[in-house]
Amino acid sequence: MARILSLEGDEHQHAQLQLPWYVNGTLEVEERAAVQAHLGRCARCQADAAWQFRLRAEAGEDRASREATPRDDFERDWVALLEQLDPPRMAAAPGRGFRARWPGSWSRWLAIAATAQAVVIAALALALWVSPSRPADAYRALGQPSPIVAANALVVFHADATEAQIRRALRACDARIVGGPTTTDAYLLAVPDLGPRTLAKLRSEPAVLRIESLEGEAAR
Amino acid sequence: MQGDHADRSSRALPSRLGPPVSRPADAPEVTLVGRVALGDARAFEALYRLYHPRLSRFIGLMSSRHPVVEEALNDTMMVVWKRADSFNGQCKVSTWIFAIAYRTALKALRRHEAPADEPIGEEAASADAGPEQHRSDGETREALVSALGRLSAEQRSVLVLAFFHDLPYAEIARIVDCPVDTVKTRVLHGRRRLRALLSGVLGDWL
Repeated sequence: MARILSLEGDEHQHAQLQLPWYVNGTLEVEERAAVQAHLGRCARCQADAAWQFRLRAEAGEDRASREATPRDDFERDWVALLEQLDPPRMAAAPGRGFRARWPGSWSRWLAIAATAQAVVIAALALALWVSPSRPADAYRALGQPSPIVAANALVVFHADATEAQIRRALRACDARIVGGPTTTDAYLLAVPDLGPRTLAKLRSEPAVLRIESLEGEAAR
Repeated sequence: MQGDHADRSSRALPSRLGPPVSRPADAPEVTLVGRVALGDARAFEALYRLYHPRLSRFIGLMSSRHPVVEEALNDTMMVVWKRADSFNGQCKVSTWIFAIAYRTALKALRRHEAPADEPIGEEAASADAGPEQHRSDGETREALVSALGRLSAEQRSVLVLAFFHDLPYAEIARIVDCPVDTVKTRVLHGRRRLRALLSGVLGDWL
């Protein structure tokens, strides 16, 4: 059991106890001045301080080494944590919350929800189109009326993606956003010629965190 | 847990969070914790992202065994998620989270590891004592981490917080829930033992 030492009296003992925080630079001004004054008179504390400065330097090297840890460690730990928490609530996290391992049950749920949403959107659009009460002069389109387009892909953008990046990703494949955002911040896309090459192209875009085909092709 | 979400989201920010002690630099994290208390998953992810490197480092120095580190890290953030409403703003968010990490790390160590070696006398050489050798930086670091592992968990934790995380003694005292004098004494004895453990491996650093 460590012996608790009194701080009163003994200047040397006091400095010995304060040295670590003199070394890490967190002592108050007066405390630092007191230690510094003692160091000027005590060779033993000077040696001790030098050793602790070296210890702290090695600690700094250790930090630099650990900071070089690949991001995958964070992703792996985050997904492991998510699986222990309440999945439906954690699904409200932005796209970055869905990392390399997308639990199969979530993927199926998301695909089903997105498909259902796309069907509803298409049905509503169809209902509007065939409505007999459309006034002829209330609105005049500048161009050809767009055909109803069903969503065939589900995309999640990076939380910090810029509008320019998103626009670029969509233009690269002539894709259009036709629905969303969903409760999980996903968007429904209509992508012409949605094949493996187009999916790969979209995945390579900086704005895209994850994309899934609703036509049955597995996502990443 | 299933019912938590509705309960949390219907609550206003808990009044006991109150105005924190004036620490403008801590305001963003206090806001995050407040949102986590309301069940905001995005805020929780942001907090996790913010603290993962530091907690990994601290807990990784408390134990060299990966399963222990992983368990303690997860347990720490689980407590943050479940008990965010208990944060009362009377200390920094980092102090609160590190205090949780300290307790969960100790628990994980007790569950998984044998007790640390009994303290050796300061005059005793380490088991690796031998002639002075020139060592690479990586080997020096390994020797340091290995020597830390031979201290008691209590000594190891305060040394890590002081030298690896550069925390003031008052904050360390709050994290380990001990008086400041105890922290200073633990660091004193811990660093003397560390120096003894390293003397035969590294020679004299001076």
